[in-house]
Amino acid sequence: MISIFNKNKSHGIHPPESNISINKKIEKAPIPKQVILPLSQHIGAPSKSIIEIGDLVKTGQKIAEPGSYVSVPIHSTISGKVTKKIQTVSSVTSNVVEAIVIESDGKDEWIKTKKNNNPLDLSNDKLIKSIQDAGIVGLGGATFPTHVKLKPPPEKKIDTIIVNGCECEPYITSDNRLMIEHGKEIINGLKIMIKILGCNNAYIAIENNKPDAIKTINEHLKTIKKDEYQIEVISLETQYPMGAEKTLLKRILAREVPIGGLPMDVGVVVQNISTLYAIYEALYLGKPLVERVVTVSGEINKPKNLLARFGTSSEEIIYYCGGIKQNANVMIFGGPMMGISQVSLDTPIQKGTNSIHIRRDEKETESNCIRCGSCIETCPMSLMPFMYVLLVKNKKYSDLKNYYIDNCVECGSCSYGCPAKIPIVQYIKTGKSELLKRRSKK
Amino acid sequence: MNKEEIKDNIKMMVSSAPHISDKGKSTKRIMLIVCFALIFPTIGGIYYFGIYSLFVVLVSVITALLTEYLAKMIRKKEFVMDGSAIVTGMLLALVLPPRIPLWVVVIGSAFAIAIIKEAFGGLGHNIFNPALAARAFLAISFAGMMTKWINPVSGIITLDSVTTATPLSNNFSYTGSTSDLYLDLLIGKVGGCIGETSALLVLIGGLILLFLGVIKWRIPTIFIGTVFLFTFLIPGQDPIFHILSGGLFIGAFFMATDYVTAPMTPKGQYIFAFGAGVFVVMIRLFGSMPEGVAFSILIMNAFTPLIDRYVQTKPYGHIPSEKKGLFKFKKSTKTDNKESLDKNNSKVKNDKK
Repeated sequence: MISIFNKNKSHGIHPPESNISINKKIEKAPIPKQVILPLSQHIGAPSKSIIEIGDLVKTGQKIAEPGSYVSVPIHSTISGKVTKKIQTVSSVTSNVVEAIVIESDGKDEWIKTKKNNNPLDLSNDKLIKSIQDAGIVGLGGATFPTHVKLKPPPEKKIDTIIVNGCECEPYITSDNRLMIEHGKEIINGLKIMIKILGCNNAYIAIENNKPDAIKTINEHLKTIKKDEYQIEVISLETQYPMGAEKTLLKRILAREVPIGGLPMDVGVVVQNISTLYAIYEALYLGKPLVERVVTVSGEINKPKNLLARFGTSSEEIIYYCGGIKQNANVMIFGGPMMGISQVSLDTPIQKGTNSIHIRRDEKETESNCIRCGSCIETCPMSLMPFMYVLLVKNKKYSDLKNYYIDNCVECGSCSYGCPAKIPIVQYIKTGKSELLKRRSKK
Repeated sequence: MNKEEIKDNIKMMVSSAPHISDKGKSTKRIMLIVCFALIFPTIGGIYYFGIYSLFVVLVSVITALLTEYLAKMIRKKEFVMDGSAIVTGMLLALVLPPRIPLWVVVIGSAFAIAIIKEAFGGLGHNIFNPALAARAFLAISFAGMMTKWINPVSGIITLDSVTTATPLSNNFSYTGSTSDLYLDLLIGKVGGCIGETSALLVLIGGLILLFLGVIKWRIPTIFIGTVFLFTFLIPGQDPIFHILSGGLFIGAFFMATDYVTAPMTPKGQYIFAFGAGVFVVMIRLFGSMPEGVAFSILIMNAFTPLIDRYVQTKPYGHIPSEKKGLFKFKKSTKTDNKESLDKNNSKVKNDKK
């Protein structure tokens, strides 16, 4: 076991654990009457539409092709008729993106899916191709196309796979429920990953506030052959942001990803458990990625873990969960630490939406920095967040690089613990975008 | 709630991440904890030097608050009752001699807030610790009054005073065993400033700050440790006497740990505390003044911006290069990296077993 006094113990914070939906079984959300499917639900080039207005589509039918290598196709999540193509505001980047609107015929007719009981017999290239074809991206929230992660450049030897089941943001329980209810499928997904990467050493990292998930995964691990797979569950102390891949990597392997690098630079691939479940569904059941588990929690009447189709509007989901409580006025896609607030109730859930969190806005006014140093103490990346506030306030953007601003993962630990209630992350985001503007000018 | 109701009644607002914050942490709460911790040395001051000490504390706090209010009005800023003026007022009173005239207290307290704090831009912007800077100002301006020490008095409601020397001054004499002296220094039955004589009461206040997470152990430990170490190494000096006497404890726990005027990085705090300790020993042993805690902390306050500029944290994933930084690092080669990775790898595997 990794000792508690490990020098790689990461910095971080302990937001109150409010997992009001932890014991709610995954429930299928009703098929929506209409879905809005943005063509850019992932990091990388947007997908290119291959259908026309008026076309009839079935559930799981491909409606957009990948725009480049770092991109994935998009599938229809219901059966029905394509009614229009609209411009909508992305729920992640707030940029205007193209979206396809499909009206449901109420039948939810699927395309023909091919089951395969032994996808491990397929060649690696075929496996990676089918993963891309299924539209799979990192479902932890980053939405990086999975097939790219699974095909590292040959000079980068992968020796460890880390499966991220930490789910460190408060309130979110979707990964936890998935591990409890679909542990076996997740391990089958992991086997495929192990085969593709040709690396036998895998850790499944779960925070110790999810004992049920740890137990279930351990039981399923007993059924697989010990000599064939070296898979181990690691129970980690509950701390935010343990689920950030760089923090996790350091905690488990004592390796640090070089600044500006990727985990594959130190021989590791980190994959979220929801992604593994999606890989399982794609290769064993032939199902493309059309739905995911979304935790609906916070100031809502019936908190749930919903299996919802992409493109379902948040209004529809809130309605299904009994409406929101009085005075709640903020809707967040994601968790309360890093999630993005959405103003429109029409905003559809998409591949990266692991949670809809409703809460009351309780922002306090910012006061002077008293230089207490708590932002330095809590920063998981060992940065000096107060400097960014100082430099951005004085518009000294070019100095930000000297303080490694690109290394910031925007986890929000600094703002969370700031006694002066300075929105440090906002300043960092401003600084980063100013830097980006300067770079693109050159 | 039906669908129309949801659509019509809900107006969602924009909020920036993180959407939650630690309710238990605020500037006001930190200041209130410091005030609470300072009550212990204050009680000690009243007990040893009479009720007059309480007047000194009250006058100092009230002047500090009024000055801050006026300064904010002149600067056209909103006056926020964050408690920082109360802390400054209390701290200043506690490092003044017991029979200091109240008009001197008013001058000192007003100087601390108006010149040292507000003139630099208010809370968070001052370079020097306001209470200490005001004390230094008073020590220079009113040298006679600032060095008039008295013996602890018998009753609380009394203005009697027998002039005495503080333990650190040259003409201090003590009749009794060394262990008795240590005990008197610990509980405070010696001459000195209102709040600094009892090391024990200051320590209680300091430990409250430590346990409530307001201060970290680094600065007080290194500061006191440095003084102990140097007085231990220099022949003819008694290290225990040195750490218990004078204002070292109140300086180490309440003054040097002042967030605003101390470095922010852990490494910088080590340097800061070590430097302050060295200056204390130097002033006490070689300077013309008997006590040097206030001046040594002020000197290190002046170094704080420099320390913060050059002592930075090592960010995650940082590979040291020869070009950047004040100090030169050994350039790590690829093979070095690989070896350390392998080492880490095998360590993890061993851990597993």
